[in-house]
Amino acid sequence: MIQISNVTKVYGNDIKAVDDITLSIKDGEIFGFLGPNGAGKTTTIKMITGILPIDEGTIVINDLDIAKKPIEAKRVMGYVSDNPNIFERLKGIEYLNFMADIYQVSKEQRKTKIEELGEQFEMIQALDDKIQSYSHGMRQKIVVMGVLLHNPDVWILDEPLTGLDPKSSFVLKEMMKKHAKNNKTVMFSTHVLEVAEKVCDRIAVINNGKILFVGTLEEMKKQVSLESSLEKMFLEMTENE
Amino acid sequence: MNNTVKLLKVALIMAFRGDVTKKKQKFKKPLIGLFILIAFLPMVSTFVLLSKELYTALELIGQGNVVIALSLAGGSLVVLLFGMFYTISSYYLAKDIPHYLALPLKPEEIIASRFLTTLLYEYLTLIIFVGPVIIGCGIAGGFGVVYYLASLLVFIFLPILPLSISSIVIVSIMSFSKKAINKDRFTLISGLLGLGIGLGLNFYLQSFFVRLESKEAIEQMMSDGSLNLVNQIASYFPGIKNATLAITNGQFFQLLIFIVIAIVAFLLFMIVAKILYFRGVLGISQQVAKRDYKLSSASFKKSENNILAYTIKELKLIFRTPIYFMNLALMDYLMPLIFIIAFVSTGDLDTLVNAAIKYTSQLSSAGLLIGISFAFFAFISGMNGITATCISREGEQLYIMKYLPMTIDNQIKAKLLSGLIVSLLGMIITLLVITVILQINILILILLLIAGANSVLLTRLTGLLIDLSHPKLNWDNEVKAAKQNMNLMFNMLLSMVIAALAAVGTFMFQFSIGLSIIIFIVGFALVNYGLYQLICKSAYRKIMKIE
Repeated sequence: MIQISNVTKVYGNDIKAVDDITLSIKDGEIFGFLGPNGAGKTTTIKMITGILPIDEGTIVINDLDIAKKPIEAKRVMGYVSDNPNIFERLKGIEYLNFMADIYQVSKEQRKTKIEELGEQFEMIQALDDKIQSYSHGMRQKIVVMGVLLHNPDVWILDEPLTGLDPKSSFVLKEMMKKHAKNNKTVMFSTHVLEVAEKVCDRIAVINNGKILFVGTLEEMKKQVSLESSLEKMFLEMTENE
Repeated sequence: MNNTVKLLKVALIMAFRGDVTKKKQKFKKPLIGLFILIAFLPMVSTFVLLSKELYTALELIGQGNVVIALSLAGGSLVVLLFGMFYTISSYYLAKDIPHYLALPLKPEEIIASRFLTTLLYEYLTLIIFVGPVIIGCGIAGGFGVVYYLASLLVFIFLPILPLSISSIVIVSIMSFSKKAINKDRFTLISGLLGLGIGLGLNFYLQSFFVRLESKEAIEQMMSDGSLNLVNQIASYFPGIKNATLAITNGQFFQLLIFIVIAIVAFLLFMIVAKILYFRGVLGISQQVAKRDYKLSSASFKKSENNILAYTIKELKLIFRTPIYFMNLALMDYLMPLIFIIAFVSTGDLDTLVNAAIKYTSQLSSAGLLIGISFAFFAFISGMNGITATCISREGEQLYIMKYLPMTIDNQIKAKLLSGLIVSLLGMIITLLVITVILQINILILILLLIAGANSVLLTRLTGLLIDLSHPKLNWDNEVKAAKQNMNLMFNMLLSMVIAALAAVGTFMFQFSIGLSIIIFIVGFALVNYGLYQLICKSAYRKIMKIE
């Protein structure tokens, strides 16, 4: 689970990218993080994953404080960035072996996972080619494969569906559901509201660094008092802010 | 042309503005400029003096202007060779190129802006080659304002012709190889070819200047036509003779011819670019891919140690990125080769080797040799920029270092190890070759290896510390991360200072073997340990501070 308590992030001297947010994301839950561009989604995700230091508050991943026990916390996490352009001159299989080494995955487990994920994403034939020869979608897939090799308890994805073809998009959504079904946590940010509507158990809406709403879609409908689409609710919520 | 100016403006802002996320530091850039100026001052003044001497010597037989012709021809050749590198990366490999392709811009507008940006970098290179010679000859010949004015105009137009030639070559080759060319391999081959030509020229010039030692030798060269060969070099680049005459005799008409040649070359390149540029650049994102892999038990290689896994990843990325390989790793192997060429081309090799053996075979000279080994390998490994760019090379991917479940300490150790492996291997090969040639005593060899390893480690650590303190992360092509990275140059200069101090100290004080061991082996081992601890302690804080 992820416990975010009173977290604040300030850029420069006075720009609050994230302003005193508190969230609790449970085991077995798919949690969607919604908000317009520049709302604070990526900053929050970067603090959860240890990329950015936290200015105020705490973030705890499976009882491990990311600020106090960063390596242990990162070991139970898997993070898919919104930029899949990584280690472009490594071959796909070399990248996967590197990630498996860093996450200390046994030879047997990496074999099972690479075969399983490679089949699902139809990537096996491309694994001996350098990542620089991959399309944007293929790069997304190799990054997803890399972070799932150690079967993380907490899986965090930043705009994961950008650039994926419909089939891979479907596969990824199914993977998220399967991951949550095994009592693991999935948190992802997205602009695609339909995805949030179809996949998420709960969502949070963030704007100007503040959480505007946390709950299920049903609860959101009640709060906004609109029997309408998620898109309209989202627009109403972020525009009134 | 209007669009070209706009594109040039953007390119210059991208190149010189730096990291916009950082707070403005008013005095930093002028201070860095001043530091570079001071650092290059000894080298430049040596060049000025050498040119002055050479001009005076050759002017006795009425051939003084050969020095200027040679410098202009040499400078043109350097522009031609460097131009191959710069143009590939600037016209084709820069990350922003695909954005321009989607805009309603003509090929000649894109390429002209790129050409002009490249030209600016060429001026920086050229000023080191031509500037001191012009000043040296100017002083020796007692020339006036016209000489310097003509020189300035020649300097401005000098790189246009060679850069146009290398641009035409590159644009032509790239246009015919648009289908599935291995761009990395192409960059590597053209780069190595350039280095080969450069080394060949170095060898030729070394032996030429050795032959200029006496007046009799010069007269001999005059009579057998060797000096005319120098003029031939100048004639390889059209316009060099005109430029030389314009500078030394102040002939305006010759200057005009030279300028016209440069402009015609540029216009010719524009015509070629108009026809061929899009043919090559539109295929640039295509990569060679087989897509026929089958998983086997060999696919799942496990490394027992994550520092080792990280080091192997670093080495693979360096060796597979031609710009990194040639500019960062190759120097450990190339520089000893250049020294050997310089050694061989001094003439009487046997006498030199025999004289050296008298020292290298005796334990009594071990003190001197330990100091020399330390200084030599500090200088050589300073050229290797693996650790001095190890954080910079991460660029926009720096965040990966922060989310991997591996301490920043250990990642830094792996980066240090990658630089150390390449440099130490170069050092061992060089020392073994020297041992065979100079019959070095085995005990001395062991001491030389330890002293050399100590200085290699020292320059790896200083490079790492420099890059860790001020990494250049805001780059759009690999040339900027490696070749145009000031951290690499700072560490190179620092290594030269270390090497010079060690060499001067050794020769001045004639260290005994015991004292040499205490200074260069024990003393610097302690310095290295201190630096290593400093890096380990500050690495996490410094990396996390970068947002």
